[in-house]
Amino acid sequence: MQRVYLFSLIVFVSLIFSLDYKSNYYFGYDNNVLKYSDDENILFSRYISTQKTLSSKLKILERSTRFNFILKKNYFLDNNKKSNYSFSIKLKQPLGNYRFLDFSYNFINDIYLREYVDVDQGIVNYIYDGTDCEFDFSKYSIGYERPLIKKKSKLNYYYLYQTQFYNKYFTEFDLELNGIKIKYSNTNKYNKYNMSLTLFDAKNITRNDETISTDYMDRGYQEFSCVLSYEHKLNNKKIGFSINENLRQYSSNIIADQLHYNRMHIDRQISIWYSFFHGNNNKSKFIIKHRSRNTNADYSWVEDLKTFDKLIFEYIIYLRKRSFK
Amino acid sequence: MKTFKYIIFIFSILVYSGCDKQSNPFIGNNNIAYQENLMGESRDIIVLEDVEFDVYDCSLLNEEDCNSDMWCSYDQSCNSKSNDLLIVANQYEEGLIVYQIIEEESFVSLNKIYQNNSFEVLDESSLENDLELRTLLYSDDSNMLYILDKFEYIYNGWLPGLLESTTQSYNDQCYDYDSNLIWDPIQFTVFSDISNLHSTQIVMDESNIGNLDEALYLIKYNANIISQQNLPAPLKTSSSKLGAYSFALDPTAFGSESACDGLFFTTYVPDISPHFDYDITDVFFKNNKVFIANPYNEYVFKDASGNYLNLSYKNNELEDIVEGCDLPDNSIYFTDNGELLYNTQNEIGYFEFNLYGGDLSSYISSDVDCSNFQDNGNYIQYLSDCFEGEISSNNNYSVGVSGNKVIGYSIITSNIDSNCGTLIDLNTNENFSLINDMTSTFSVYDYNSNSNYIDFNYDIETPSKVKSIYSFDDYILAGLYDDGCYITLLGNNTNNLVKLEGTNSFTVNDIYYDEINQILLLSVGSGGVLIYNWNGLSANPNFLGHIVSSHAYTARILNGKYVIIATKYGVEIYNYENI
Repeated sequence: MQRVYLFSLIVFVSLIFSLDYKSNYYFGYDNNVLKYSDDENILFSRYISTQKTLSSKLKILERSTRFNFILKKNYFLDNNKKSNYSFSIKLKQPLGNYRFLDFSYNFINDIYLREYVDVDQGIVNYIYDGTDCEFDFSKYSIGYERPLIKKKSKLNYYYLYQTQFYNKYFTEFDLELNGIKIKYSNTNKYNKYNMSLTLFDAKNITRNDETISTDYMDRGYQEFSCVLSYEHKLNNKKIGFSINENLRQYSSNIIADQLHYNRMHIDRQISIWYSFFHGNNNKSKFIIKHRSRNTNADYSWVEDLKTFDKLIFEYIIYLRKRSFK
Repeated sequence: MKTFKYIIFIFSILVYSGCDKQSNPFIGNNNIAYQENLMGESRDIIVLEDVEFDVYDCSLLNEEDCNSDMWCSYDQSCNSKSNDLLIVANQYEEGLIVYQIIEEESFVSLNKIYQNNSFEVLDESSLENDLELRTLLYSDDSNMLYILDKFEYIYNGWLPGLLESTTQSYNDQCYDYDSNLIWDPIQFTVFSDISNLHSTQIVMDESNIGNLDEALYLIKYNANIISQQNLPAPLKTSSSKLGAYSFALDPTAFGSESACDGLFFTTYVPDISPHFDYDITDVFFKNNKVFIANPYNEYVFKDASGNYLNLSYKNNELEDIVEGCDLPDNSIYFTDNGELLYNTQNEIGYFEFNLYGGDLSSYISSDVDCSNFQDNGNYIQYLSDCFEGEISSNNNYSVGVSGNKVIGYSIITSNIDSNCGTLIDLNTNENFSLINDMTSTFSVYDYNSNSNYIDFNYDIETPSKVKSIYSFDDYILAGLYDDGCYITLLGNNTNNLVKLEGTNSFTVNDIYYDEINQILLLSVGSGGVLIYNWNGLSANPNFLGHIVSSHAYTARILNGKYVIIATKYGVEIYNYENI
């Protein structure tokens, strides 16, 4: 039903506005697609993703509102449960003097984690092996952008609201997240870079909902993230790197909650890339990402279970923009 | 028109966003009947149905006191009343807890009547106040409760005394280790004069309990944390052994007051078994048979300085290995006629290996024609020249045979020079195989109460490592790591194991059979508990249901209606009547 509605929305918008259209294709390999720890049977997967972007300028207020609609589909060839789609809508409203207000909404459908035992099943007359656990991730953000000294450097402030709602048979970890983010970015003739800091407070909103599992578990946490990204131009080529570090401290104060009590982790992702333009204005990009998470907890089984590392190789081709007036 | 477009656009976003709603939590039809959340992990439980204690004399109480006493009820006069009790061994936080089980129509609940987390004896054997209760045992005959604090002491307490404060019909001053007026269990005194003992299991033959009980306990020696001198001779690696504990006199022989005060007259035998390896995971004791899960580890070779030598085991699939020098460097092979072939670039200062497939100690003692041996109780020491092979030429070496374990050692520092050939020829037959890292077994022994020793019966090889072991009448059940549960006939040593339906790749933490209700319970960790209908007469228990509980360590039946489960997060009770 959602897909039908989405399609209708695109058709509707495309009928009444002039549009630009972009499409990107991703070809990748993830050596630990389910983020399993070393003690588990680690699974890899190749994947293909397609991303379509419709963009337009809507003359709603005095200055045109920039509008983007992005639809992304992921196909995991060796682990179909990870396949999913997402879409996002972004609005950016100029306020004059290089100041902007922006709003974005991003919905990621069915992010598959792993098979979990849902202890709220009670007694069943068959062998219960577990439930596929996946969640829908909704992200809202409202931001304000202003230049800093020169128009090439700018600051963005965001208020972020997110929800993570798990599947019907596994709702004990539903989260509501509130966050703030500040981002500094700078662009010049030779390079561009940005830094951002984000603070999130995640509340486990299904705690104590009269199921067994939520009696002794609280998945709420506070998380601090920082991102540093740098890209250098070499004629029509670019090389860059980014470091993304998340420090998460779980807030459970239930001593019996072995999985979350006194647990923290540092999740670090380092990416390097190289991109270049083809003669026909299409662009290619090669990325290598290494992600590692180190978990500290009172129980070694928790540390073992929640510590992992993974490597991703990705090739992206960006097809040139097409305009429809 | 602009405003109209704007409204449509925003409305579209909001409607779509509104589709992302939270689901309702799922609760199954046969859900939990009662949950007792605890801070520490509940590692073991005992359910006692219809308990009464003779020493509680309700006739002494007036009507008001009688009606308020859980052990008494008033009807013309004050009479004693039975209770259902649940005893919980909780790791770290709560310690030992006793609950009164209250069952009213279709509801069940727990009423805590005793809790004690401060009875740990601190001395040179037990330095930290960190009770880690793992195992409970109860003797109906003696009313004694046994409590195992893992890697430290085993305690015992006379239950009517421990629960003295729950009634006004009995009044004694009992043993109180920490003077907090909560009566304490008392440690096995047999450990007080022996340092570095580490208890990890206690079992009792429930089919053969008298007022004197008889508990077998497993002691583990960890070479990584205790000195070489404190390892049992002649071993230089981690190991385990069984001891036996019993009462010389009925615990109440000198009256309830002395029983309550922990004045027991006990006897013990520290060595009732050969040397086993460290990784024993479970012991079961019934009908004078002792079942031991994982008695053997892989072989060990060390140099004279105690450093481990890395020797691989070579399979002789191509039958191209005739003598030791045919082996690749740093490898060994055990032949069908009992020769241990080796090829190593390092000098060997110590070796130890296990064979399975027969009673090695008996085989060697009857086969080796050698007068140079010394019986040391749980191992026999032979001079090296009792055996053929490279070892026979090294006079400093001795060979110890303990059960199915062979130990090559020297009192003074001595090496078998690096070489290749036959290290030792045990002259065994093709029934014997060397335990390597791919071999998992459990063993069956006969307990001989006259000799106070266990006699080897047979070994069974299993598809993976055994986590739990159980026996009822003619059957043995072995719960494995990541490979479910297998059943076989007792006395059938043909490795004819049948896997129980539905046990899949679960790790089986505990096996329990309730004979009265004919229910078999398998506690399978994060998988919960599997329930089977079983009459104990066939190798085919019928799957009845799956309780999807929290991480389950052990489970027991209550009144043929409820399953009580000790979980990682406390105690959970389920009604299994309607499945």
